[in-house]
Amino acid sequence: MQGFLRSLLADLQHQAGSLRERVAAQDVRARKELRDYILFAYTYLEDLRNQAQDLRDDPAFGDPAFLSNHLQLYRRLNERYAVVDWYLMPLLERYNERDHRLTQLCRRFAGEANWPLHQPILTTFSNQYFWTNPDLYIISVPGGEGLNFLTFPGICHEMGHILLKQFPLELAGKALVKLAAYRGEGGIWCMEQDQRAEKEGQLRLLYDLWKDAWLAEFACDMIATYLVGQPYGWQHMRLWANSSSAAYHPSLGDTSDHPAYDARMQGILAVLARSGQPAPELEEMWASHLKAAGERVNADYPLCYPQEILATLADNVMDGCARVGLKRFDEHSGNPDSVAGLLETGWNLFLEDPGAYAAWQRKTIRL
Amino acid sequence: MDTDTHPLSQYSAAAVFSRMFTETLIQVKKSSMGYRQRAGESAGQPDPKRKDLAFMLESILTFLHPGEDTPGYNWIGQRFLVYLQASCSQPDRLEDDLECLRQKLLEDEDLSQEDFDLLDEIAIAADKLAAHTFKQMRQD
Repeated sequence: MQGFLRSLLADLQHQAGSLRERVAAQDVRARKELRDYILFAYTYLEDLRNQAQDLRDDPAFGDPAFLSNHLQLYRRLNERYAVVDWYLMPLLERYNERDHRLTQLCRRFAGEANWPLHQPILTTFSNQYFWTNPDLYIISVPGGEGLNFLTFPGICHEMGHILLKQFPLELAGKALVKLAAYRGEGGIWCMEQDQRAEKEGQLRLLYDLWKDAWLAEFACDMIATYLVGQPYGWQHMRLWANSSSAAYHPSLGDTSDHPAYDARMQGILAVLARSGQPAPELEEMWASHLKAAGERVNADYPLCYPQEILATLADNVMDGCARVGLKRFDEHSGNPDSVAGLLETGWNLFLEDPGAYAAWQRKTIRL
Repeated sequence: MDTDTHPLSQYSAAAVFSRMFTETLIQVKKSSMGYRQRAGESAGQPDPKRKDLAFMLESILTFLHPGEDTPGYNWIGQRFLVYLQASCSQPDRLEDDLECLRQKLLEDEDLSQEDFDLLDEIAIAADKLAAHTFKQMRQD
């Protein structure tokens, strides 16, 4: 087995060397926004190669007593390689003019919103809708949908993931404590003695989903709403209309990495209301479309999405965003030339005169 | 009560913990097994890595048994403890065994095979945590 591990390490060194050569072939003058990524990838790979060599040179390498430990160190090195291979190489080798323009638009928005972190970089070759790697500040979107300005609020949701990674306690700390209390002794999701004892497994799953994924998704929706206001709600409704998922799914016992569309909409509406800009039209449109689509709530659904947690999170996110210096949408959307202002104009036009929207986007936003 | 109030664990923190713990464990194992000392260290000298390991065990113990002054969150994360209890051969005795092992490390006592087994179980749990958080690097 240690012979196998030695071979794996040699292969890893070889692969890292090949990638390093491809990184070195990149023109650092071509795109200013790629320079840091080129330097980072190069040094990361060089460091990885050196660490792999140190491991192979360890006098204890090959001793069965160390096999498990050496395998663990190999895995960490291989993860480093994967970071460059999966995220950085596609960015460096496929970044094009469209990516550049979308990145510039996002950075313009970040400036207007007083974004407190390193500026994100965007790519338009995702085949899995919108995603982000918060460690690397990379946001990826599909080449068509991502260039539709109506979906820009979705990019703000991805920016939320980056922000949340840097400021988890500021943005979600209080909501996390509230969540833990739901599962703690005497909490609503901890029912050991009563008639719902048979649901213990489902409640544990529910808590794990909230803790590991849903809380972050709700928080990112709320951050995006804080940043752009109502257009995020409209884009969310558009997303539901385009998807095949039910608005009240997942419920108790279901597994999904995202919470239900309806619960997410309630989180969005909570932030709008707290901003002093409730959105009755959006709320009514949402309710009427769910009814028309035959969407039905099951009995356990309310238990899965407690208003108390969503309200705490909304307060927490809004307070946290302000504390890290972010400007709320109504502080910059008043300027019709700001990105938030253009989103408001664009979405209003889309809803009132959809035929005119495409021409407006072509004229106004160069993507 | 589930005390995990820091679930937004980051890959980088988990990977660093896994690497640091494993590298330190390797050094302590090598020293115990009579492998050649590194430059500047003489045989018979207490291994400074034992103190590092003891410190890491103390962090785990603090998280297992938080006091009134302990913050409600911890970078180790609840998931690490779940992995540790799953990989541990005697989970009921985990806390006592960790404390006993910590004392042995600090007092430079010889470590038994059972002690090294427990240290390996911790390294495995840290490895699982890092692998899990790596998969979560991408957010939709």
